[in-house]
Parts: sequence; C-alpha cells; structure tokens
Amino acid sequence: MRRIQSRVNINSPEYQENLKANEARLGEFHRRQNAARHERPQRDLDRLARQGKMLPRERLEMLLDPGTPFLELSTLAAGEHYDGDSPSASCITGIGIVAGREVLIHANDSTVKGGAWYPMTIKKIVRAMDIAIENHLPVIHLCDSAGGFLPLQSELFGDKYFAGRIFRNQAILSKMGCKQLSLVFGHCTAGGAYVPALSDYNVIVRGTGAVFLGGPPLVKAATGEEVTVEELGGADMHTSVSGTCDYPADTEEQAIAIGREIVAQWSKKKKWDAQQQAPEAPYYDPKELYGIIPANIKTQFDMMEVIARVVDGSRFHEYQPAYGKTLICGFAHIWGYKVGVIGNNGILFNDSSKKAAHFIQLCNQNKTPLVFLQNITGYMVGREYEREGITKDGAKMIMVQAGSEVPKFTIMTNGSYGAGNYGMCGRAFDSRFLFSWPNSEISVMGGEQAAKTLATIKTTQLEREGKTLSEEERAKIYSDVTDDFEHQSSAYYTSSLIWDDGIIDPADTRNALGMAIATAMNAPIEDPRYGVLRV
Amino acid sequence: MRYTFKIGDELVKVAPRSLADELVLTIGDKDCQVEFEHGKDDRCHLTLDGKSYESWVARDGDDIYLKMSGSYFKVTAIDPCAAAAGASAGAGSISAPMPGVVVEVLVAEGDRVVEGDKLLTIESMKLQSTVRAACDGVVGHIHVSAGSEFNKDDVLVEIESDS
Repeated sequence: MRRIQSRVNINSPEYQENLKANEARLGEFHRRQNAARHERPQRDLDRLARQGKMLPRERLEMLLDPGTPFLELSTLAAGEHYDGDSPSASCITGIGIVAGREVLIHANDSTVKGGAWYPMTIKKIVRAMDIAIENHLPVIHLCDSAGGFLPLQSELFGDKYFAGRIFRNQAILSKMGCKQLSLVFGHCTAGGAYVPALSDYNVIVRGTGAVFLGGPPLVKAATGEEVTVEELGGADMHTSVSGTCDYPADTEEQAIAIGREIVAQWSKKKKWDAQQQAPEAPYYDPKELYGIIPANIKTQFDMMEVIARVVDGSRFHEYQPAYGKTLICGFAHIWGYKVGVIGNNGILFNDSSKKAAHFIQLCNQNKTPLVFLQNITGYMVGREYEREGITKDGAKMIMVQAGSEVPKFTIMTNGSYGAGNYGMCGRAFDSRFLFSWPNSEISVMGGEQAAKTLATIKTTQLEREGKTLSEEERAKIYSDVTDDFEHQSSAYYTSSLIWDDGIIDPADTRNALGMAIATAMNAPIEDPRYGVLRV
Repeated sequence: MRYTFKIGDELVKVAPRSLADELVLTIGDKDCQVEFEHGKDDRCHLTLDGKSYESWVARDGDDIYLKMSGSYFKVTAIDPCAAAAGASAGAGSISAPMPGVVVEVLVAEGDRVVEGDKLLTIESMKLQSTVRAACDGVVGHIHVSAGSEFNKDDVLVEIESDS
C-alpha cells in the first residue's frame, strides 16, 4: 500500500502557531485528567486509610496484568457538573487485561462521597456495560458504594437508562454468556446489592465488605429489629449461610488475588478472525498532529495529514480519489487491523455523500471495521444543492452508516455541527467507541450563528417587555450568550455529559483505536443488510 | 506482475517468476536465473545465470544503493500507483468549489508561486479554507478581493503555468 506524502512544513509559522496553541490545550487537558484521577480532599483519603481500604486505582493496578495497557473511559465525565463534586463521575471504567483475558472493569470510587452514585455515575456505568454487551466482554465490578446519591434521586432512579439499567445489563450479559465477577470491598446496599448478587462469581472482604437490601438503620426503622452489619450482610454470613457470596477474603489484596484466580478459570473465547497483519508504526510522527490541528477551529486542515499520523506505515489506499473530494475514503491498517477510514475534508456535498454511502457498503460486505474522523460543519445548503437532492443523498449516507454491521469507531478531531454529526457516526449512531480531541467542539450549529440567533431572540423579548437596551447591554447579552454556547460546545462539557468515551491526546489516537478495535473483535461481524435507500 | 526500476537514468522493467525454488527474472526479452543470499552487514551473495558476484546493498528510504563488480548503482522502485494519485489538476483558472466569501487574498498578480502555495482564504458554511496553487507558475488575473462573494464555479484566480 502506498505511503501518504505529507505536505506539512514543520518550520512554517502556521505549524508553529498551531503547536503553541495545542501545547497549551494539552497542558490544560493533562491538568484536568490528573485532578479527576488523583486530587481528593485529605479527609476522604484519611477516612479510607482508617478503614484499611486501598484507593480505587491501587486496587485496579493490583488487579491488572503487569505491563499491560488499560483503556480508561470517560475520565472527565461529570467534570463540568455538580460543581466538580463528582470527579470522573465517582467511578473508573475501562478495558484491561486480567489473567490474560480482555475484561471490562467498573470500579466505584469511594474517595468521593463514599462512592455514592450521581446521575452521571450511572450513565457512565450503564455505558460501560453497554460496551461489554456490544463487544461480548466479561466484566469485573469493584464494589464500594454508598448507593444512589439521594439529593438527586429523581435524576437517577426510575427511567429506562437510570440505575435499573445496570442490573438489567448484568442479566443480559449473563444470558449472553459473558462472565461477571464482583469484588466486594465496601457496602453494597439496596440496588447496589444486586451487583454482586447478579454476578456469576463474587468475593467479599471480611470486616469492610457487606451486602444487604437495607442496612441496619433502615431495618430498625422498618421492623424495629436491631442487627449488626456483620450479622445482616457480612462476609461470613453470606459465604457460609445465605450463599449470596462465594469466597470470603481477609484483606483486599487477598480478594483481588482470588479474583484473578477466578478469571484464570474462564475459557478464552475465540475472537473474530480479522486477518490481522504485522503492525507498522506510522512513517510520520503522530506528535506532528499538534502542529496540524489548527489554533482556530474555523480553519480548515487536510485530514489526509491526520490519517498519515494514525495508520500503519502512513500507508493508505484511497477510494475514489478524484470524486467527492471533500470526503476522504480509503483502506488502511491500524495496529495490523484492516480498517475503512472516512474523514472530512470540507463540507458534505451530493457527491461526497454518495461516495460515503458506497464506501460504507463496500466495507460492510468486506467485513472491514470503519473509522470516522469527524471535522464537519454540515451538509451543503442552497437551491442548487437541494435540486440535486442533497437531503436524499445525505439520507443515503445516514441509512447505510446506521445500518452497518461492522464495528464503527469515531474520533472528534475538530468541529462537529448539525446533521454532519449524524452522517459521520456521531454518538447516536452506536460507534463501538467514540473519542474526542481536547480542541473539539460539538453543537447543533456553528457557535457564531447560534449565538447571534439566541442573542436576537433575547433582545427582542426584552424589548417586547418594554425595556430599552443600550448598545452596551446588547453587546453584553451577545457576549454572555456566546460564552455559554462556547462552554457548552466544548469537549470538556460534552465529555462531562458522556457524549463520548473520553477525551484523548491526539497523539494517542492510534493506540486508543488499536485497543478499541481489538476489543470489538470479541464479537462476530454479521452479514450486511440495510433499510430502504432513496435512490 | 511486472516491476519498473530506475537504474541510473534508465527505466528497466522486470517480471519475476518462481520456478520450483528458483527465481527467474524476465528483463526485456531475456530470462535470467537468480540466486540471492543476504550476508552479514550489507554484503550479499548474488548469482546470475550461474555466475557469482559479491555485492553490497544499502537502503535509503525508497532508494537502494548497490555496489557490484566495482561499479555503483542507484536503484529506485517506481510505484505505478503513485502517478495515478488524485484528480488531474494544472494550470489555468482556479474556480470556486462552492459558494462563499473571500476572507483574504494572499498573493498579487505577477507573483511567482509553486504548487501548494496559498492563494486565497475563503469562507463557506462556517469553515475557512485555503485555495492553493495546483502547479508552479505565475499569478495572472485575480478576479476577487477580500469581502467578495462568489458562486460555485466562479473563477477566482488565474495561474500561468511554467510548463
């Protein structure tokens, strides 16, 4: 396969300006990531130490095979919500290797409000378990949670994708034959009690671990019965009397060691034969992406330069190189896995949309996973394009993309606006994994137009109420609206809402995709079939 | 399958065939039997039609340097796909890929440009993009200025090609 010929000049002022902007963005990203992972109030750390508990990340490190990678998901979830009270949405989720098996890990973070589940915690856990279902992964739950965060109970209990979905997903996983193991380090109360109960295997730590539907205070209030934690749901009772738990452990370390031994008993399932070839590092340095991603989000850049810094050997077989050139389609390898790459190089026109639809069908027939590199302001508007059928051509692209059977992976590299987000496999279209770059933005339309529209509505409203606005007041409304809109479009805000599976350093894109594809190969790829195309 | 190599200034077409465990190269209308063994460092043992040669091979990117019987050769593999890449582009007028507005004109009439040089910044559908020279040449008439609106296929700039 031919190597892409890069046209990037690393000495150009443009490159240097971008580099400066992106280094600042990366500094901010790493600062936020580090805070979400490690910065906790001292009193919470002291409390854990008093209880003789390990930090959640220490448990994780002890559980994972040494020297293996861990693909952490949604580290910055809830980062822009709850006044920052729920860093990383109070839990860790990700894919790692335990006893040589790929597993999904869900760990409560008891350093934050006793591991209580905020609404976003539940969204993150449900998403992680959806990943397990879609990719046929076993799951290990590290349980240590106070239960639902009561002040926000109306946002986490009762609806389809709220807390109940965690247990529903556990049951579905079990039905599919995906194994589950719970390691009970702390209390699992009420709904939380079902996490170990619905697992195929569980281990419970003496003294700190407990499983019950209602804790001692609730039991006293309900029936007047006085009972201790140990009697009600301690390790010895559950492993020797009720049979709710399987293995007692004296320490957390022992519980993890028993857990690793349990996972080692699980049969290794055969993966999908992806005809993987030997991986080859990109010819062009992925770190050069920092000089390619523009300082200003409105500035166009060549997606081919991005592909050259993600795929094996920077080699790319371009499909229809002369047709619909605002969309790049072609075949490449990532960590030895063949993929079809679809990347934006401008607005989606009629020809580029039809090209996408055709290429996606080729990939489905060939059972080649698809990688979408989004930088899209939308489908072209205007009389000429409507007459050519831009809406129905866009519909073709959406129809075959949504109907794809091959695993899809999406990277938000820059802008993602309007219907372009749909066509290019945005969150609603079931990418197996979706990652964002720190510079990226998502919104229903471009920030400037949206701010203008919103500011006009607001000023008209105020004027109707009889207020006369000075130029200064108008300018303030406009800048407030713009600031809000920009904030809510930013990757930090959308990642806080879990519209993606996490923000990644652009230079790590290849590694993240490599792990994501390897994970997806645990599930078979079905034969292609689609809905009705408006031809 | 036939490969094309550039050896010095000469283009040589080579068709390899495997017969049992022998390699036969058809070069022009002649067949040549080849045995090849990589030795230590860059040293190789090469046998052509039964005659043995000691040679040294070094690789530099896509080029191979070969020393054989006291002579040096530079060999470049020609990729037939490379010439097929992309759409045909060239001199003449550069027209608008879509309707939009000119943000900035980056060249003046009479300027010398090389392929890939920036000519204009345009904005359309909230996105600023760069119109670049498709060949080496001299900037001819510029039909637009900053702030001009244009329709799809309107001519923006003319380039007089060198070739």
